[in-house]
Amino acid sequence: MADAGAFVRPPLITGDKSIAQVTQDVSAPMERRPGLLWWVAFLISVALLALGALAIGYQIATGVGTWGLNTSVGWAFDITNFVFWIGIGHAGTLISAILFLFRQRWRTSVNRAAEAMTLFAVMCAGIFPLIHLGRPWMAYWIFPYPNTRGSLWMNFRSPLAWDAFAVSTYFIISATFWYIGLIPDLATIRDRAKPGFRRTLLSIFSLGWDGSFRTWQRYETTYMLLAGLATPLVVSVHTIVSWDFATSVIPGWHTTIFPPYFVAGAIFSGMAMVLTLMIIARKVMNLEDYITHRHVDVMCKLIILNSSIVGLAYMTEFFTAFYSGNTYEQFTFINRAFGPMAWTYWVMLSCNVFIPLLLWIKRVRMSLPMVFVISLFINVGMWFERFVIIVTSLHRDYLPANWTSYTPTSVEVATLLGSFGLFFTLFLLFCRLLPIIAMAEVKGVIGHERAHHHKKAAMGHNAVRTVQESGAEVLQ
Amino acid sequence: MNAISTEFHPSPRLIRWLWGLVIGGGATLALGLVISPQMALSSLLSAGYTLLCAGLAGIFFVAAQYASGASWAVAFRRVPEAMCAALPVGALIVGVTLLAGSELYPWVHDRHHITGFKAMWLNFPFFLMRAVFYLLLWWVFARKILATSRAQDANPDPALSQRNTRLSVLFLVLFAITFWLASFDWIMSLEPHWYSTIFGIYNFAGMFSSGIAIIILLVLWMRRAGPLRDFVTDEHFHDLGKLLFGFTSFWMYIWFSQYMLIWYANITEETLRYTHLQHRYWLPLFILNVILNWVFPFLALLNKRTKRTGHLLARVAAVVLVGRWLDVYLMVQPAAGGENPTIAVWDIGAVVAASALFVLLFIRGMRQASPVPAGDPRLAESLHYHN
Amino acid sequence: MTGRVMVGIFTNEGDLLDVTNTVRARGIKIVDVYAPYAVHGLDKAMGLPAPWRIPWTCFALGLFGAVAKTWFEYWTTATDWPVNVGGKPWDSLPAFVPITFEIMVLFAGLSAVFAFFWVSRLYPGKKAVITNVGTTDDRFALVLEESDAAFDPDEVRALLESYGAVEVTERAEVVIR
Repeated sequence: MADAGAFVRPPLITGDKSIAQVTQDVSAPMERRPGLLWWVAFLISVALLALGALAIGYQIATGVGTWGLNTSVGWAFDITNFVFWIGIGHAGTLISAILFLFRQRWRTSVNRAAEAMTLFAVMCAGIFPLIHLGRPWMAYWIFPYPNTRGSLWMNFRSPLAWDAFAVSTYFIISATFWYIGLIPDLATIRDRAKPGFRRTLLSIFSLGWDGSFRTWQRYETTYMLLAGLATPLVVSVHTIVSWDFATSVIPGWHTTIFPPYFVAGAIFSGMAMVLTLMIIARKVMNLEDYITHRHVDVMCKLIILNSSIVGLAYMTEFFTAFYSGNTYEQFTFINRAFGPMAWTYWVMLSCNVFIPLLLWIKRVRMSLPMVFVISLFINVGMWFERFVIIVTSLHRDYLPANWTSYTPTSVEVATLLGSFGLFFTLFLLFCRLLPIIAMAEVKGVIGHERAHHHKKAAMGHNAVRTVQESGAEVLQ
Repeated sequence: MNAISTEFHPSPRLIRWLWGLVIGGGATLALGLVISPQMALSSLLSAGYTLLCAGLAGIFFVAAQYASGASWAVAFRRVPEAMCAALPVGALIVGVTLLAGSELYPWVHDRHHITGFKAMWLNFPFFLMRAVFYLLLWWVFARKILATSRAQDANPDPALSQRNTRLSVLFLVLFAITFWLASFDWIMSLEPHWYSTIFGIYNFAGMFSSGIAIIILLVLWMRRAGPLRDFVTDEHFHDLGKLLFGFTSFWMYIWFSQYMLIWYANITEETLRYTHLQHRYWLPLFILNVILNWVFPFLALLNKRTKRTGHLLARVAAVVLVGRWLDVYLMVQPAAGGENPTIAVWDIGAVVAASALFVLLFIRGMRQASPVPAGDPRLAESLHYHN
Repeated sequence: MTGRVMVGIFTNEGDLLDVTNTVRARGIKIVDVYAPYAVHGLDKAMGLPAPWRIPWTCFALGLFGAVAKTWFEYWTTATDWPVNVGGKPWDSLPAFVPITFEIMVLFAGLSAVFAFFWVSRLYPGKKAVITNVGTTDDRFALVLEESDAAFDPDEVRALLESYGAVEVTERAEVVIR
């Protein structure tokens, strides 16, 4: 019986919290004034956001010539950033919906923040195709509405139109899911708040929630339905993003593995971003008892899984290019790995496949600084993955006369920085204004563990003994 | 503890019947090999591959449970473990069929347009060596994982679970690479000029969704026949039903991703396979494949009652298994077949013989160890959980 | 419904489940339970039937969304103003699948949420009737109906206390359900 301890599942929340303490701990940051660290971070984020807003204003006023694009590389920075942010926006739904369906109770500590992150990432993503349209004030043309030109309807066969529907549906459903989860917690804060503007606002948004179990039961049903719908939805969103590329006939873009490969990559990058944010948040907001080493460990394992899938997809693509006997495919992949932009390919491969290999070592998973650094590398690597797919497939196309290169302009870089500014500004505001941990769900985990732990352990032992005895009989 | 009966004694009559079916089906197949070797070899490949995949689904399920640290399936884990008994026999049949490769794989003789890397990869001796490597690898890992799991019955040491967790993770990594390459080798190269990067995942999806259907049927049988009567509850079937729902939908997702992208891009080399399947009498089978493997199970399993009611769940699982045969048929036969699909007597015979053989092998596997992994530290959790 | 109610306050989910089972077995009518989180298994203890209106609304409207969207795509692309894009057929069914799916999910998801709000009567501006200030924090409130002639307040009070009730009160109050 060398290591029996490993099979007794440790408690999810450490510090032996009572239920009231959960309310206290999670509400505390919202009820005190923000610290210096928060203000510094907030001001930096707002400054970046302002920079991005200026850049966007400038490029829309001046025209698309402010970008580094050319006739060969017609998609580059904007689309890379779009796919990057949409990808980040996938982890929230993974944690809140898919892990819910898999009964992974550890998710309760991180799902609220991950869902918020999803919403903010999708907002950042939405900026880029809008700018990329060139005439963003015509954006509504992408939706079918009766018009005076016929009506000339939009083209439902276009993957770009699918994208518009997928991203807007994803945003609406994620926001709804997030809000539904917030209602009971808003009621909790409402009942703690002093009468005043804040309390009025909380009363409005908590919809008169009183904790009635009849309502709880319907709430659970609704939550389950939304999780069941959000799961295929999150898969569909990145699938459709991958179809933006894969429905074309461009070598390096047209490949059937793109849908599952993009989905795995999206979850991979999203988990990395969740880790980056949660490792900071647990420290800054004093939530070490709620987001424990165990949570980090499980998320690292999910990252290993997705890193392996992404690695396998890289191999499959490369292998099939050679297996196909198609010289254009072969050229594209050789060009990616050894052409003039090869460094981007190797950055991608190192950050997404080689560096995450470190997470296979338990000691690395247990070290928060290491995990934090690795998560940053993955964020970088996944940005480069999209850049490699988009730019290296385009810059050397069928006609060598068209071969060219691509460098982003300062305006494009400023827009990317601005999106980070938007993301962190919103996230910091969220940390101040709303409960960063799903209180009602964490209370459920603690309450359940407290009430049933002793009873269950006793039952379990008897059952095992019974089975062991009968097992021994069979063996005789 | 006499109340708990865990012994498994299938009736001798059942065994006789199964042997009869194996021999009868095998005889039609032998007849086919004489009359029309190429067509019959295709059915032999389908049968061997499906049998092998059933075994692989068993070991994959077990390994996935260990690797994820899940406890819910421990109570019936001996069922997927026993399914692994199909591995060596399936491997043997696939191996023998591949040896006769020159009849099945056009690239063995016709080297037209097969150049460069492809000529190196699709080279018959190398092809056979790879096959031997994959099959041995899977079998060795399955044996090791099973042996460790069974050793725990007599010695309930959690260290054995940890050993199996490590083995399972390693197996899953190697399996992902080898199964993908094997499906390219054995199935995709039947039409050497056709390629699709998602093909390995498509094969995995079919293998695992049908594998869950098999597990459902076998666990239901084991509950009725006795060994698992006191261990398996409706909660287990509810979860198995959810898994079947999830993986049939996953299969549909992969099927559609492959089909839609090839349809949309409309490149001649790629559409090759689908244009064939969308003409004449292939079309009804092509549509039926989607209905059996997704539409029907999806609609049926939406309802919670179906998932928790044994005989309803069994029907859904049976439909998915019929769908699995059709899916493999549609992957293998069009390469050898003509304008219209033909279903010869040996096609049916191969299905019957392989299914009966599978059941026989399962019975053998099930009787090799205690039907419940009594020494597993996670068994208690598996016996007391609720959805 | 109008009548007197008895409110027992508990601090532990296990006590709450046990007392609810006992009370129901004795035939005492449970008005409701107020809890800070969704207690697993309490629906069975209270004898609540599984909700059916929400899933069926979700299914029906999801199906409606999918069918309506398929029809609309077909009508705009193949009938109302057919435009040849890349030589694709007018009825490009595979290309219609993605948006149809998105609309199906959108309809199903939103309808489930609005059905939930409707059935549970949750709306902005509704004033929460709080039985005990702790029920959104860490207290569980079991509310029993006293209208039955067989209801013996003293006996029930003793029963609730024997299950660890930290507070038992009787109120003449109007509860609308």
